[in-house]
Amino acid sequence: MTALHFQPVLQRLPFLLGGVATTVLLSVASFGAGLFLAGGLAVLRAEGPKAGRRFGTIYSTIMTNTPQLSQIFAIFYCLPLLGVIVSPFASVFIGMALNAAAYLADILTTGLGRVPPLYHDAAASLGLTRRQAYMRVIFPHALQTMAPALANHFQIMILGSSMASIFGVEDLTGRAYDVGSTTFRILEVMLVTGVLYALLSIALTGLFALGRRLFEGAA
Amino acid sequence: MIAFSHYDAALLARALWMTVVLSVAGGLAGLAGGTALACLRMARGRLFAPLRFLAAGYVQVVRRVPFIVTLYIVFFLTGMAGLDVSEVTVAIWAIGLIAAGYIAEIVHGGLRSVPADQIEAAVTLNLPLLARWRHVIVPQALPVIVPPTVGYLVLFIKDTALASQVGVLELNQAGVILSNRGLPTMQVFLAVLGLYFALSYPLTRLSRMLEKRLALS
Amino acid sequence: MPYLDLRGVTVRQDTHEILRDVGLQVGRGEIVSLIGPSGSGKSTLLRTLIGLQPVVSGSLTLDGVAIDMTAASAPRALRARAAIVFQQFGLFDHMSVLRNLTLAPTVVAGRPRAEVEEAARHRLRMLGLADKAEIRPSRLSGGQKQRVAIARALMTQPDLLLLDEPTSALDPRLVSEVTALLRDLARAGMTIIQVSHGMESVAALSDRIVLLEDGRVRAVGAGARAAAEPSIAAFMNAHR
Ligand SMILES: Nc1ncnc2c1ncn2[C@@H]1O[C@H](COP(=O)(O)OP(=O)(O)OP(=O)(O)O)[C@@H](O)[C@H]1O
Ligand SMILES: [Mg+2]
Repeated sequence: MTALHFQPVLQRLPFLLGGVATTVLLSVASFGAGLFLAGGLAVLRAEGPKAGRRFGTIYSTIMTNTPQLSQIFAIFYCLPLLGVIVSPFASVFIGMALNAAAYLADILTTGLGRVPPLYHDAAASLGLTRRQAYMRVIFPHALQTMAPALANHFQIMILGSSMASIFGVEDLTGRAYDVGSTTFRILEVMLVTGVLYALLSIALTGLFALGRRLFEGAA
Repeated sequence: MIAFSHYDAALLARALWMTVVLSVAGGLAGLAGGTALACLRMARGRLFAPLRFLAAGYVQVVRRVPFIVTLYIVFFLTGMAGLDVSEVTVAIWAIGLIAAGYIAEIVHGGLRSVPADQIEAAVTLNLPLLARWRHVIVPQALPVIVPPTVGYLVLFIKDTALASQVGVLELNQAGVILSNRGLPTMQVFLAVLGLYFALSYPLTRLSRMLEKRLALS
Repeated sequence: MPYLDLRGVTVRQDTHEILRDVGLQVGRGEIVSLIGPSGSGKSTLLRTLIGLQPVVSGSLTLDGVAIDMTAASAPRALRARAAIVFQQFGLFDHMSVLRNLTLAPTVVAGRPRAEVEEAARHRLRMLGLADKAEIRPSRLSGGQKQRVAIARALMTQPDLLLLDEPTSALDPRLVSEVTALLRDLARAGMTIIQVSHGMESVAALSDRIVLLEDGRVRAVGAGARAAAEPSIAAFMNAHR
């Protein structure tokens, strides 16, 4: 077995860290878009017409029981057929957002179920419209009770965003592959990359914990 | 547009079988590894302290690394070590390593969910160690462990789609091949997604059913 | 002409009539107590008055303005004049006490936030809750929650205040505090309708007592001798 040489990899650490930025950007953007869609799906499932409820449930069931990679492939190949030409980044973003919408809708549905029924009455009695009640009272409460689950799914999305590399996106994994093929130190690169992902994830865990402390301390 | 031939069907069938093999073998490896890790973490005594620490560390780290990176590491590590293993073996190892991390966490949580007074009662009854596990700890932990474990198997099925990255011809890769060959892309991917769904959905249902049934008893 | 004139309210749940042809006349600044056995429809009547309960029939004249209770516009019209304090308070635990108070004035009435916060802090101070503005309602005691719920209701500047069992969760000392507060409000012109189980305070506090039974108004007692009306007296004696 040949020895490991980390020097060439560590020299390119700034380049890899640029990939971390893309990873975070992609994850944050698709989490945001996914959460927006999930909000709509969750309301549809809670109060929509029967057909709407069924649609919401079926959507989540299908998306959570098939691989995200295949979903992104389907989008990557099928969008051009529909005449939509977008960058690989955008394809992956769309795929991740649609996938996240399914998981986050499940989480929000649980959250909506935990909002005390009296909140709906209280908001109405104060004169809030249905829409205002959802935006000001119901969703904020659901988001707060489900904050740990949402944060957990965000972590999963950070890991899942590594699939973007397969479509040529220069995220952390994509750049790791680049560095591997120019330095021929692919194993070392992947080990460093693994450490970077772990550090990013641990940092996020810390950040969430801190956010929660500050939030609850303020209240 | 090229029509769907029986060669294509055969390719799809072979790929489906490969996905099943990867899922089952990877899942079993993860089950064995995860249970072992969880038991290590439960081991008492100073002698086990370093092992406990390593097991906990492994569980923490492996769940924070993308599957694709783990897959590459196993792939290039075996290559560099000069081990002559097939791509399929690499993929199974990688799935097993990741699965072990997740399952260890579930099993550990399940074992710890057994109330302390139950264990103390067993101790005061003079039950020997093995009997404590067999009659007190395991029966109470299993209902907590089994449903989420079955649920996680779905996650590992979905991970097998990445095995194509080290050259394994599994379901997702079959979709890419057929689509590149000029078959109608939309139908090809609907078929691929449908087959994944057919594998995963029964497990999702089983997990939910077990959760309900075991919660009752 | 009374301040509030409710007529012919019927509420149906499936085939069961929860309220049957209920009417109620109340003068401005009066305190009305609704009493009756459990399940007689007291809470339901309060909910119809804030537009939370769909009715089969019914009309209301409130301060000279006629409201068709079956109309889709009824809830909005009712909520512009009335406010409710729920038995379980219905405070929003994911926001501060202050935000609970400012929510409706800013979001519904569109008043400037700074001005509303000023008013909210003033009201909290009046109720002895000045130091609780920033904390979550879940950290308050039962009596404090009660007062915050009343403060929140008052922030919408109602002239009709509805309370569902305002004293049932309180210990006796707090009961007299709340009844004193209600009396002050009524003296200032607020009309108050409360569901009550505390029979002593009902007798002492009410200008009017309405006994509901099985979804119907069984008896109404008014004025100083309200509690002396025979069936009301009988009910109150039985539930003392
Ligand atoms: N959402 C509902 N669905 C079905 N029935 C209901 C509902 N709400 C109330 N009821 C029924 O309507 C009747 C009146 O209920 P209501 O809550 O108004 O009684 P109440 O006089 O306030 O009783 P309590 O003193 O126990 O609070 C009861 O028979 C109750 O079972
Ligand atoms: Mg009631």
